[in-house]
Amino acid sequence: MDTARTTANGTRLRRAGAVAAVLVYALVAALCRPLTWPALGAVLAVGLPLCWVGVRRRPRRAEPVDRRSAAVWCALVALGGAVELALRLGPDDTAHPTLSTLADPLLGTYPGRVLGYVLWIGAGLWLVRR
Amino acid sequence: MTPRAAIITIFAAVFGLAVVTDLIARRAGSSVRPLAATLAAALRWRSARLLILATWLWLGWHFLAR
Repeated sequence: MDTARTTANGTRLRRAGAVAAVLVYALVAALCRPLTWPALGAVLAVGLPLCWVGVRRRPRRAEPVDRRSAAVWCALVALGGAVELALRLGPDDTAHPTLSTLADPLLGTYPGRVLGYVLWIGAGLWLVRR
Repeated sequence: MTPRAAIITIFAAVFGLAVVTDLIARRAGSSVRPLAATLAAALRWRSARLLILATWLWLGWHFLAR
C-alpha cells in the first residue's frame, strides 16, 4: 500500500517537474524574437536532443491501427500540406498567406511565443514518450 | 470573398475536418482510430519515429525560429 502511494507520489512529482521545466523553457525561449540566431538556438538546443532520445528510445507497446485509420489521417495531413505547399510556391504576398504568415501576428508577441513554445515542446515530449 | 479570406477559410476547414474526424473516431464502434492512437501506432517503427520527430523539429524551426 505504502509502496504504491510512494510510486504515485513520485510519478506526480516527476510530472510536475516536467511541466515546470517546459514552462520555464517556454518563458525563456520566447524572449528570443523569430528570425534571430538565439531563436534558432532555443529551438535546436531542445529539439535536437529530444529527436535523438525519441529515435533511440524503445517504443511503448501500442495497439496497431488498421489501414483505414492510417489512410484517413495521412489524407488529412496531405491535404493540409498540399494547401501550404501550393501557397508557398504561389505569389509571396499578404493576399495569399501561408499558415506561418497567418501565425506571425500571434508569434510576434511574447505571450503568443510562450504559447507556441509550450505547444511545440509539449507535442515533442508526447511523441518521445510514446 | 478576397483570396486571403478564402485561404483562411480553407485552412479553417481542414483544421475543422481534422477535429470532427477525431471526435467521430473517439465514439464507440468507430472504424477510424483517433489521431493520437494512429500516431502512437506509427511510432512503433523507427523510420516512422524519425520522420515524425523530424517533422516536429521542422515545425518548431519554421514557426518559432525561421
